[in-house]
Amino acid sequence: MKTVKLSDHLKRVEARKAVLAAAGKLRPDEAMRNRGLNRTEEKRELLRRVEARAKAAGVSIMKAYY
Amino acid sequence: MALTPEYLAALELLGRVCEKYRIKTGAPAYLVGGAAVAIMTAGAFPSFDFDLVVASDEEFEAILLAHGFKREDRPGWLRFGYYHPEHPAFGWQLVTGPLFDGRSDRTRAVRFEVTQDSAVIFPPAEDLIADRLGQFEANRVDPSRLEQAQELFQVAETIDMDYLSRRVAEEGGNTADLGEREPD
Repeated sequence: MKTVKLSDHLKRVEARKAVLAAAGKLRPDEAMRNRGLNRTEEKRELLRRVEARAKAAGVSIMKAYY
Repeated sequence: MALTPEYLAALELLGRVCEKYRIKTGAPAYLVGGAAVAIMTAGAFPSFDFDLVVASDEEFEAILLAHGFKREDRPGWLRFGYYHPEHPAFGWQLVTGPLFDGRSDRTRAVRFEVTQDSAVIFPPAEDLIADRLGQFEANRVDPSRLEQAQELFQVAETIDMDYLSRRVAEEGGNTADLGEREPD
């Protein structure tokens, strides 16, 4: 199995995104956010709990769609 | 958008669990779903939960609990759901069944080393793309899965088109939805 350092992977992808941006083909991040329409009720419950725990701990997170 | 320090800290912890599991059982734990896509695309979109495919739920759970994870407290509702008190912004879930119903070529999997003692194994990018396209076909009202597939197709280090075509067909998607891959 191939092993790659995560930091190297992230640098490579960012470089690739720069190529895509130069070609006008970088898609907006928001377009890729899961809209939540395919989520199971179990997954929605998990995400509700994550949000509640983060809120209780005073941790700021971007709201998930569910 | 990039992977946040909080996200990377949660991933590093997960990677330690995955490495312990791999060393103990000889079997990999695979990260799948939105988290795998988010990391493969260097944080192109936020993800709040980590879905894992493991051969032995019991062994993996024992290692999770030894690392401070807690079971979700509603048995039967969130089976195989976990949280970690030091990482309240994230959830973890074990997915039942073999990796992509046994259709994935696991020799193509990639191990991402987070630190010396922490690594997470990902299915091949082609499988993640096929999974996203299949989900898009299942519900075309939500285009986010298609957008994710297209992004993965563009940023993957390499793509084996023959393998991708086979896997997309198996998942019920259409490779034509991916468009053309931009040259390097």
